[in-house]
Amino acid sequence: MSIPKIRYAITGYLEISVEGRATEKFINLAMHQGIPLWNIRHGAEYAVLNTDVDSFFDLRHLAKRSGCRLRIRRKAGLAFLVSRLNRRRGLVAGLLIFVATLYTLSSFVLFVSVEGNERLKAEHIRRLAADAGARPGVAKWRLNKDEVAHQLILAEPELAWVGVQIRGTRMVIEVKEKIKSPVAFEQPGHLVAAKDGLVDEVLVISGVARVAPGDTVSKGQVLIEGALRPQAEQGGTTVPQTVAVRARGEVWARVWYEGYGEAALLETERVPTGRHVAVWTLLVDGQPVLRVGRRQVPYLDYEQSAVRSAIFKGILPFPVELVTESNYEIERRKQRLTLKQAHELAAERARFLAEIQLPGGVAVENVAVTNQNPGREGFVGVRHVLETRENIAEDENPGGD
Amino acid sequence: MSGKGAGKWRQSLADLLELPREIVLNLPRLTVIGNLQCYLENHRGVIEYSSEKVRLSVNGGEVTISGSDLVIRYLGSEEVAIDGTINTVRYEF
Repeated sequence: MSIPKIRYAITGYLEISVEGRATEKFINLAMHQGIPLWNIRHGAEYAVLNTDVDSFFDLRHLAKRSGCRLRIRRKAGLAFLVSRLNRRRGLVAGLLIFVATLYTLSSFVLFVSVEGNERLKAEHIRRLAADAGARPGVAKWRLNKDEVAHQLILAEPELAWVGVQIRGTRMVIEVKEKIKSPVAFEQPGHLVAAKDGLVDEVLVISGVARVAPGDTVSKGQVLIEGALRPQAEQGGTTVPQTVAVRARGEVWARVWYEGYGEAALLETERVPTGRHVAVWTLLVDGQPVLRVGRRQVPYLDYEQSAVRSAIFKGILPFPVELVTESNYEIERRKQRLTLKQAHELAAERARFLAEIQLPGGVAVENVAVTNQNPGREGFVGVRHVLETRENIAEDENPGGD
Repeated sequence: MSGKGAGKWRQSLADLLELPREIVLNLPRLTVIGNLQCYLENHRGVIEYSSEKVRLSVNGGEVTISGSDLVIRYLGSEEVAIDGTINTVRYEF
């Protein structure tokens, strides 16, 4: 391929039409002279071809010799574009100024925002950052992020980690406060039962056990007493004093969680119909400013859900919120159940109620499901009991250890 | 070309020395890519061209390329490139 199309796209080329009887002769002459031609096609009346600008002059002569008429259809190429732009210098200058201004302005930090602070005030951190040299208006290239982070950690002892990020013109200071490890104070105290249960095993680390396997304990009962009674020395006359200590140990017991569920043979179901209306409220700084939507909900029975979204956060100094309340129409449908279905429904409700009482991570040892007389007509009752084995010892006054 | 006898001698010489035949015999070399592109080297001019038929003059005869939407992508003094949907390539020697 010896036509550098890219070169001609820059220096400029023409699309011309050739009309006449002997267009082939014209093309052959041009070809022999070494004039670059490309994209030659012949239509009904005339031929069209592309050639470069400098050769056009020679082509004119050839056309005369072969009896053809030339016409320029299109001028293309970067060179033509540049000459067009030259006539509109103002446009070009304005564009360049715009780009330069945008670039310059974006090289400064315009906003400083703080994230991740829970105990410390954002204003406080901002002031510390400003002391370290990071304030709105400072040039980005003169700012050392690591230096600022370092200064902040040194200045505020409550901070565990500081990260400084520059996103565009906004500087985000992410902080993580220190988590105070709770002081393990050695105040004397007993271990009491957190729940009712049947004691299975007692492990004492320090203190004296007050219950034995097989005992039934109730919530709050003292399981391990925080006292040490040193043994009397052999042959000693004085009774040694009991020392008050913090009770430590585990008491494993069987705990039962019970759930009771009922189902009626004539169940009322709440089904959403799909229709809903929405009400929008705009809150500025906590005050409702604008409310769009119906005042009254036109449905008999409905369920409401509200979505709050904070807009303009970080841009305006006061909080602006948009609250969308969606009211979904509910239809109450009566359904007749068979005895078996009602039974299943009641069992399901009982199971659910029992299982939500379970603390996390506890294995269920035994499950007992029994029917229970609900005590009223047209209802079915089911009792679901879960048995677990847990450590029910807890500190008398939590807050230590 | 000076007759069939001399042509044969030149052909044997080309084979012996493993020279490309089109240079020794001054014949056209045609490269066809699928039915999309055709590249002919060593031609002598364009006889006729339209979007259905392109006729090129070569040493010894003619080459006719017929098809549809034919465009002469490049025309140089030694080679020519034709784009389009090519149906037939015909040699007339």
